[in-house]
Amino acid sequence: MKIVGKKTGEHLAAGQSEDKRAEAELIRLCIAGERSAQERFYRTYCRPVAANLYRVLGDRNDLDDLVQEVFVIAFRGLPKFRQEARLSTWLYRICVNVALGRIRTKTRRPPPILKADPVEGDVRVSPESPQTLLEREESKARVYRLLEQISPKKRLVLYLHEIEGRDLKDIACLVGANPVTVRTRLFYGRKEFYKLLAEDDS
Amino acid sequence: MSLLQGKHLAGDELADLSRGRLGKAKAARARAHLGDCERCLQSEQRVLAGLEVMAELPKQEAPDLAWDHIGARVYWGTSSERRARERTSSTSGRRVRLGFFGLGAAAVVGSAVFWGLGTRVESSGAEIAVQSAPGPALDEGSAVAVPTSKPDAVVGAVVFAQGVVRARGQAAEQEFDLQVPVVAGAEFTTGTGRLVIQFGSSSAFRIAPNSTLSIDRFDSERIALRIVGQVDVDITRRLPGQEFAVVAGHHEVQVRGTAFRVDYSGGELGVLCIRGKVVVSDGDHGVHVPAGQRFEILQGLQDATLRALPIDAAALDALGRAMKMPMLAQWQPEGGIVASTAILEIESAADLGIAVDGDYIADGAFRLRASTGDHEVALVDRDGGIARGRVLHAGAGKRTQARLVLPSKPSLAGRALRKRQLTVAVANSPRTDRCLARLSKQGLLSGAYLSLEVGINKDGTQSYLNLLDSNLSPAIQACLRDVVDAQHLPKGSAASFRLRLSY
Repeated sequence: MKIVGKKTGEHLAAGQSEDKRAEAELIRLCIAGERSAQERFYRTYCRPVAANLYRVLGDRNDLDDLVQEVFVIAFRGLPKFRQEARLSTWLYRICVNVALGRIRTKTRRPPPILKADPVEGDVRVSPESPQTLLEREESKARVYRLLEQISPKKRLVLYLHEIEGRDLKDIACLVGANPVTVRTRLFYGRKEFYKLLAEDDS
Repeated sequence: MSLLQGKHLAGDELADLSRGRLGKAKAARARAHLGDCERCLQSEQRVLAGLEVMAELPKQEAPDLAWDHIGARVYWGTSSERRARERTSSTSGRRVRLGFFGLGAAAVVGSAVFWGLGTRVESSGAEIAVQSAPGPALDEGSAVAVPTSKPDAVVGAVVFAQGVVRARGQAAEQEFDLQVPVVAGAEFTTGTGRLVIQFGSSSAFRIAPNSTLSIDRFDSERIALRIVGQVDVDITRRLPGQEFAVVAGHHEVQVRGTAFRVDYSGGELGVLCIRGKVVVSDGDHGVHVPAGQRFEILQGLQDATLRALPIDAAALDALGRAMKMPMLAQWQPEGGIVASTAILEIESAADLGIAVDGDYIADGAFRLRASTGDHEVALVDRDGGIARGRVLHAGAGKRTQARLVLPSKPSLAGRALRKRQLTVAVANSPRTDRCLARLSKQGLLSGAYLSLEVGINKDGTQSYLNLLDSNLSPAIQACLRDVVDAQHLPKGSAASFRLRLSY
């Protein structure tokens, strides 16, 4: 068992280093202005980037603009990317910062209406009734509506910790603050958010 | 509102209870309370429902977006060489052959361009025509069109100069002359300095450091400034039919009556609109940038698919303050302003800020054009307060000089000594370690800080102690504050200072 484990570990390590090499090559080609590489980069990460932004903001309004902003920043910053972290982690950090900017500038709007994605072709069969689905969407909208009442920095930290389950050091790295600051933001953010949640009877 | 304080359960305690994050004793007390309290039971139901939803949020997939369209916009926002190549190879001038993402063409024809799949569209003989908005074709260094009838010349005046600035034709060792009227053809280069040129009532532009601005046109029909570097423009009113534009490389920023900043360097253009509206045009397309928005072109040219993006509120506020320029309240359009006003040459000790007639102007040394008469000149301290100043009398066409020095204060040596004494005393106190023990144990101490404002009397006691800022929790802040408060220093000079305890 021990040998198998070791082999598996080596195999995994080899796979990871292969991924890193491919990633480094992709970055190199993108910086060199290779169009197919840039396209590959965009195609690989556009959906994860959009999903990250969507989850943080809970709002699909202007999502295309934000995705564009993330990639413009990414392409601009690629030559400075030192590859100490994975490309996906680096992109996630950009997403977080773009989302934070969006939260800060966002004017008050009616609560977001989260619509299910349009389904083309095969109709997905859901075991849940339309009524259940609607209630679920309303519950999500309620959570995001309450999150909107928290200040942007606290909201982001709260989201990353309470919803994504990231630890303080990870969050500190993502938002560019030290862990103590993050902890303080989280402390007050949790107090505010759960107070709202406990008192919200909508 | 906490159980620990003998009242109802707080929302975060309910969340911790349901996630099993409360200690055994606290959890037992919380459950006992829930058994008796209807209100907390209802709150718990709401929190549980919320937590259930929150657990699902990370599983949400991305909504379906127009990926090709976004890809095209990204590409156009970052590409440079391709557009430049197309510009030179374009035969009809306005038909652009494009290729990259060759998908979803029908959806975006007329406004978007595509990233093709590695093959340029022209190789297959296909072409996509991009609709063009009418506008002047601009090239760096191109001659300015000569109007048929000669319009009236506009004459401006330098109203503020600071640091190293030069006008075209000025010898290196020669001092920059504020008395020379500003007319078409003038060119200004700033080193470390900056210049403000007023050209009308409440209208002026400021050239930032390390920039070159030349005035291509300066008349009643058109004002055209060519910039390499950064220029801030504040226009309150234009003459009827007068155009105002800032030319930056291949782009022209056309003004609709506004305050804005143009930053053009290294082939990259940034336009930030604070008030009113501007249009950024490359001769083919025009992008409207309304108030509170920015537009950037990174090593490339814009397309109709690129949009202006909002500036965040804090940055907009800071920009609004930075855009404030010193201007003369009374303006004479015929150029008589230079002879009828005075120049104040003011310098502050230690590069402190200076206010003239109650308005902050700049730090350090500068020259300012002012109306004739008395002006109150004062130092601005680092907290923004205006210290008592002095009155300068300015005569028409004359230079009036002043040097401002802060009134004497306790010696820095004495203050530094007191600060060091207190820092050492706090660091050596065993209570400090106790305050920070928990944080240190969790490995979260690095980066923590506490800023205080302290006053020390001659006998070493503290006259006041204010907490300014910290990223520590309120309990640790209070603990450290008590440690500082307990310190009694030896006799010495009285001093007040800010103390930052960093870890």
